Amino acid sequence: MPRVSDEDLVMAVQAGDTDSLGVLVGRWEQPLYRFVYRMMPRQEDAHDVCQETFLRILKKSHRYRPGSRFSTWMYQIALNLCRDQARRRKRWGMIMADHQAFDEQLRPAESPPSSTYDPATAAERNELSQAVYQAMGQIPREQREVLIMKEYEGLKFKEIAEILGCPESTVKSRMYYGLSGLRTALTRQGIHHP
Amino acid sequence: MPCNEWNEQWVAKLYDELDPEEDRLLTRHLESCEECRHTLDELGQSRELLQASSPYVPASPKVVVLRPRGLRQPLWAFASGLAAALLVFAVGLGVGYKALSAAPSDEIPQLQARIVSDAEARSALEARIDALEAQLVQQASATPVETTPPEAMQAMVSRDQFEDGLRRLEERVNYDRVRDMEFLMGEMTAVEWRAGKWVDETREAVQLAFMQSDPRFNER
Repeated sequence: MPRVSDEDLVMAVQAGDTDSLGVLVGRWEQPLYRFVYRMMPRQEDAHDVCQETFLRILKKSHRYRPGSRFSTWMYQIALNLCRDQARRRKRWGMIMADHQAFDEQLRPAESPPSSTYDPATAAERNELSQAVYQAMGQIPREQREVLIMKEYEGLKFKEIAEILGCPESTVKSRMYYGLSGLRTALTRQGIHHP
Repeated sequence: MPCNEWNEQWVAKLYDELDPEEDRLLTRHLESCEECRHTLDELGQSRELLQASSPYVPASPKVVVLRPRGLRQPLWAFASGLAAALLVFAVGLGVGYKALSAAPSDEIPQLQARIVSDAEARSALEARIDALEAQLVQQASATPVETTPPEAMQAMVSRDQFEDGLRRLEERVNYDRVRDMEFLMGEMTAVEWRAGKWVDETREAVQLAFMQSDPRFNER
């Protein structure tokens, strides 16, 4: 039996078939969660954003334009929600907690030990992850988003341009300055390429 | 082409997204430009560091999408819902008729929760206070019974003391009410935070607040 495309499924949701959304959730919940978590490394926020993304897909399915990629539309929704959430956290964070404690909460989780666990390698990797995380915080948001989508999500420049609604040349330019800025920030922390 | 105009092409080359003609031009330029080779090398190193530090992503919790109200449903779903509602209504009618036609008993009547306005609540409270006051006055003026009442019953309360007690009771009720409102507002703020919507803009946040206060919902 041929696999029904994401685009056909979202068209079915548009026509009132909510079960098709279940299929889309099954296919996309993991990739979407990874994407959102990398944008904002806090499990509760990532889960909320994923939940809200699928809810919006259901409620705003009439806004989906036939012929465009479902994943692009989904990532657009999720990215906007991530930005909203980040703005909210920033605003409330100023009122509710001091920045240091707030920033600590947003650090990415450390990977759990595996069967081939080597404490020295794991410590080195975690140290590098924390350094890169800090460096990412020092480059502009627009550049950071492009770096994450390109490097960790493996999206093509064209897809990123569609998600962000800007020319492909702008995406490449942000990527260039993002990588350069990251290198400068890492060098300032004493991290060099091995 | 000046070196600084190749910036977009460097990253395209880094990720193998350069078309053959651009790739040929860029390769030719690289052969003759030490500075550009250095730039490309640095970009590649940054990329390697990014790859080496790919953040660990914990397993995602199961996504549960709640079906919003008012969404279009297939006809059979609407029909089955209507049939179920009619069935519940019929059972309710039957039970109600049976309860009304039965002889009065000593059973405690079912309490019915309803929303009352502030004015309604205030007048009901005042009526209750008046009744209690009248009862106390009546008890105080009644002829003492032959049996000796307990010591506590013998204590007389002056009108000032009574009014003072009432005032303290009212303060206590008001204090509890304020605390309840504070709690409710706190819950709503938390839900606004989570849902990303303001309560006065949408009812969804309020609905979520009620769902969150339901232990059955939290268990799931």
